[in-house]
Amino acid sequence: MKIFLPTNIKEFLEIKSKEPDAIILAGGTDLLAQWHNNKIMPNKIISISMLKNLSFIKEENNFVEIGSLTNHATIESNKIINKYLPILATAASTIGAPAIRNMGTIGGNIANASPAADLAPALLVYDAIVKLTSMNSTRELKLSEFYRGYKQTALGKDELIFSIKIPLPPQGVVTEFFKIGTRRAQSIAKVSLAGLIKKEKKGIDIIRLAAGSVAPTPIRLYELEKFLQGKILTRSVISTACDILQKYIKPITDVRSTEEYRRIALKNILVKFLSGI
Amino acid sequence: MIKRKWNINGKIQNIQFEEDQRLLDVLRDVLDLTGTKEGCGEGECGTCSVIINGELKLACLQLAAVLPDGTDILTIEGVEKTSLGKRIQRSFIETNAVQCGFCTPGMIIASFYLLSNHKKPDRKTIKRALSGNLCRCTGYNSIFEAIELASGRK
Repeated sequence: MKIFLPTNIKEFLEIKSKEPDAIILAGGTDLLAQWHNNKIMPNKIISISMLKNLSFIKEENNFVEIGSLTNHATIESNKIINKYLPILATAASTIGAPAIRNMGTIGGNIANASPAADLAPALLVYDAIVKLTSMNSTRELKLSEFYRGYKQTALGKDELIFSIKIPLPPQGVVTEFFKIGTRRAQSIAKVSLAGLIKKEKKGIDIIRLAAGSVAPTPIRLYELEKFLQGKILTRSVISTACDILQKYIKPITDVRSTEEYRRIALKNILVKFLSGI
Repeated sequence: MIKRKWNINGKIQNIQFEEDQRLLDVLRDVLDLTGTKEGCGEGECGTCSVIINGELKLACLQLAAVLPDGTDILTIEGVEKTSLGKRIQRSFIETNAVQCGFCTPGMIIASFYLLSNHKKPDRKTIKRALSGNLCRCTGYNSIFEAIELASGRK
């Protein structure tokens, strides 16, 4: 096994262009656990832990930008995040336990592309953008487009996730994050839901919904949003919303839960969100 | 072979280890610091907890080679020599917070990290701080009591 330890982004990109198949190591909370269980056997690893300028949170031009190496503990406690993106802080606080939150990073959370990634539903409802950088260019794409399938992403072999950019949410929205796990600490979500809503007297003005652990990737529930847009949340509207939700998700039965449980639990938290606000 | 110069429990040491070794392996097999235990090996149980550059981390999920020269590592053997560490140790004994003892190094490291940052944590804060540490013997209450005792609350 060979390990590379670049100290700046340029050096990282040079190594990555020569070693396109090398695995990128950030906090290690997913990679080392998979390695321990022989799910991966890395030959070449590039650690980005020395790229200190990938760890930052700033507010600029109506965006909050979070460097990809920022850890969950920082996101949980950061003032800018708590002010503008409260459910991202909540989601970060539900990850693992204190030591895991001191190690795991936001970039790793999205690059690993687990359908159960705790930050993903919140990032999806906040319309997060992934900023990728390579030797010759920088590109930005929506997080919903970054996910390409189960544990698959659009990250090129010569690229690095530089940051996550989140537009400041519209004024007056209510947001909520729900995670159902086996226990409060250390659990991987059986199912999760993030919601962002702005209600007016004449009906719903803004609605965004995203779910985790119910499809090959974390997903935005666009069809459901389209149905709810402009509606007044009567019991029959909520009931129809639940029917649409069931058509739209594809949960599986695995070690953590069953398809049936996931369908019922997600429906129940959707009802809780829609009727609670 | 990787060569590093780390500050381990307050002592600068030159060490050599393999590229694929975790910090846990280096502590136990190279440095003979066997107070740090291996439980699950995948970040669930907390018995390999250590403090790296002032932050609580898990030695089983930490590849040793990525820690550069000058890294500060504090293990249970170092915590034991501090006054706060001694206070926690005494409290664990007094409240019978140790039974089989396998989780204890991790519990004490997590308690040390908590009490280094909070002088008088409430029960909720204590529970959250220890949420990454599993104990199969004590039922946790005696451990929470030990931390309260150590913080001078009781």
